[in-house]
Amino acid sequence: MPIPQKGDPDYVEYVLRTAQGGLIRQGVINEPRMLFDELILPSGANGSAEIVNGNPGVFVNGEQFPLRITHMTATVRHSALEVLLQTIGIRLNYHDQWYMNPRFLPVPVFGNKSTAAPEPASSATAHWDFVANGQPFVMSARDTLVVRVQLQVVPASTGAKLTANVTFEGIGTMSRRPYILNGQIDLDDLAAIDIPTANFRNDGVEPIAITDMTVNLSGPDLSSPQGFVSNLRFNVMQVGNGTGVRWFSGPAFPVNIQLAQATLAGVTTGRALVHQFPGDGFIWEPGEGLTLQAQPRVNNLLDGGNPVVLCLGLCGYIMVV
Amino acid sequence: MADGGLIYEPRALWSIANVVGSSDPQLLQVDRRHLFNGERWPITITRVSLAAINYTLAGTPPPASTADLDTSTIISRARVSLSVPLRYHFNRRQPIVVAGFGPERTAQPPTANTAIAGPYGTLTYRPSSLFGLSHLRFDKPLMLPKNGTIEWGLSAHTSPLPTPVTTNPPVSYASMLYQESGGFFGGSGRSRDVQLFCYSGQALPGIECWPYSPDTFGGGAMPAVVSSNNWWPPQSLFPAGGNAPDFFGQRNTTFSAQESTRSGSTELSGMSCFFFQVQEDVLVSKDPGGTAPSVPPSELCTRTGCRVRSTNAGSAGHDWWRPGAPVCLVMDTITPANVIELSEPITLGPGEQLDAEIEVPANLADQQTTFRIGVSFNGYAAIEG
Repeated sequence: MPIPQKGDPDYVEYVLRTAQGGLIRQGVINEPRMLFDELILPSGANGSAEIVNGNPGVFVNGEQFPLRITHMTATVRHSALEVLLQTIGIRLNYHDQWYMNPRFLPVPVFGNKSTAAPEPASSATAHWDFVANGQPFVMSARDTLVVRVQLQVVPASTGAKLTANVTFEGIGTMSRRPYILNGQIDLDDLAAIDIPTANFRNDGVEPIAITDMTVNLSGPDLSSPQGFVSNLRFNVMQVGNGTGVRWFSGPAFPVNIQLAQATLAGVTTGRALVHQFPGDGFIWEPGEGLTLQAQPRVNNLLDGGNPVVLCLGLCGYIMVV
Repeated sequence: MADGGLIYEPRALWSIANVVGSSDPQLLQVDRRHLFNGERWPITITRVSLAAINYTLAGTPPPASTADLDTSTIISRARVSLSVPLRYHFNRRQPIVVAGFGPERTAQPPTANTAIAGPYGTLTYRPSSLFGLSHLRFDKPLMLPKNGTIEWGLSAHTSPLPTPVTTNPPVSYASMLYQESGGFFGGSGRSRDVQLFCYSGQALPGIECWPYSPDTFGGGAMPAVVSSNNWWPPQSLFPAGGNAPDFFGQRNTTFSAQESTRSGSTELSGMSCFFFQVQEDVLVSKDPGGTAPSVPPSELCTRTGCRVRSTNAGSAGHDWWRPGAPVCLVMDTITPANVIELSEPITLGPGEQLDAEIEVPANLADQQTTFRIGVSFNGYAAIEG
């Protein structure tokens, strides 16, 4: 059955039905998830012959409930040239089964979904429509979201601040009215900071089916107003009736990376390369997962003397059943 | 997918209006032979794609020269009328600006408007594209039997490079991926990389619809360059002949060896074509003529022609479209072309055709004197299995 679009007569009922009942399984709670990894590409004179393996255990369902993976998003770490994504080959492996191919394929060739935002907003915004790309989740009354944000690079100008803005949209399960929960915070250093949770709290008397998440990072007030959302890392956790687990899970070893580059959340709109998995995606039971390998397609892959880092996310949601 | 004994294959009826400008406005008809269903199967048209062919992607404001304005935005100058003779007209009363048809969301994210310095050298303007990607999601899955294959050919393209470059990997290459349904992950894919070549001959503007005439950067004006005087270099075909490994270490058998379902048919859901153009962008910016452009070059998908057919499968050797279609016109799920989704598909029986008229204005001070507008009617053929 085609998924209703916003504005369709049956959109609201579809959202509420899937939020409460689960699209694939009759879950008690469905919550967004993203497993993400960051790989430093070999940059030597013979780098294109080297293979770099993903960090251990990253793309594995480490929770005790099934996980449905619907999309893969990819980009390079902030401040690298985005076009260098074209010079990276990847392959995904599950117990000697390859997705898509045993050869290292250039990352862009995986793209099968157009996600471009208008140019004035393109570099600053990442948007994830949970309905079109998975399913909505429920924020019960008095629930809130903990949104932690962090810059990767401080503004060049002394005193300049970058404003991180995170927005959730939803529909009241009883009133059918729209809700917008928004929080923002000014950032000028590399500290990881929680946006005040009061901004995201469901203060009403009804549960909200959350349909969309949008992340934006403005430019410094002293120069261009359009920022680069790739400069922002963030993570989200529902407090209350949710799982109480951070939505995004990254490598824990050798470096523990707790916050994901916001570009990877651009499942619907943004600057990440997006691959939609076939059909309903993969359903991973606890302990299931796959392995990522990457390989430069060129020797001496450096960006201004720095190695290029591939950021790759597997997006979907967990089904507490 | 077999459907009542039918199998489906992508199809496109395409043409390029290659109009030499004049001091008067012109109205002319796109070659009707190109929009003619000459097969014995019905073709169902679901989308129309329109694009400026082989133009600079975008200018750099403020314009430093008229060349800065002579870009793919020319689709805001030319106007077209599309119709199905004896049935109906898309636009009844007057031609519509090409960019004025309501486009689908098919674009890649725009490139950042900054210079780059990477492993290939310094680029002083925007790269041609962020991902270099074209993608076609098939209207209906394509069934490929066990011994079936898909033959792809990519044309040489008109773009000057300073000197022949034979590095490994080559300066520019294309990487194809055929996405399959089914299998362990619910999807798999077969891939192949091919080398791309610049055309060493000279294509003249206004002479023919294909090969495409030179782009803004001069074509024949710069030293005749790299690699091939063949519009269909054998190295850009696959499966290619011979069993010697190519630049990428692949052999003729590479594609077939990737069969994910050896025991039966494979269902293909779509295909992607990635053009690696970063290095060529850098090389073009270092052109030896000293006239390095200040604007990004056109994407390779707008100036590389393709020809495709399935063998031992489907229509068994019929080209999916007239050879030479710009990739951007026929792979229209992700493309820089303007794509219109038809609210009602049009089915053309054998012998039926479409009409397209194009109207171009009198010479404009801010434009080149040639208009190259491509139009393609895309869909699928239903073939008796």
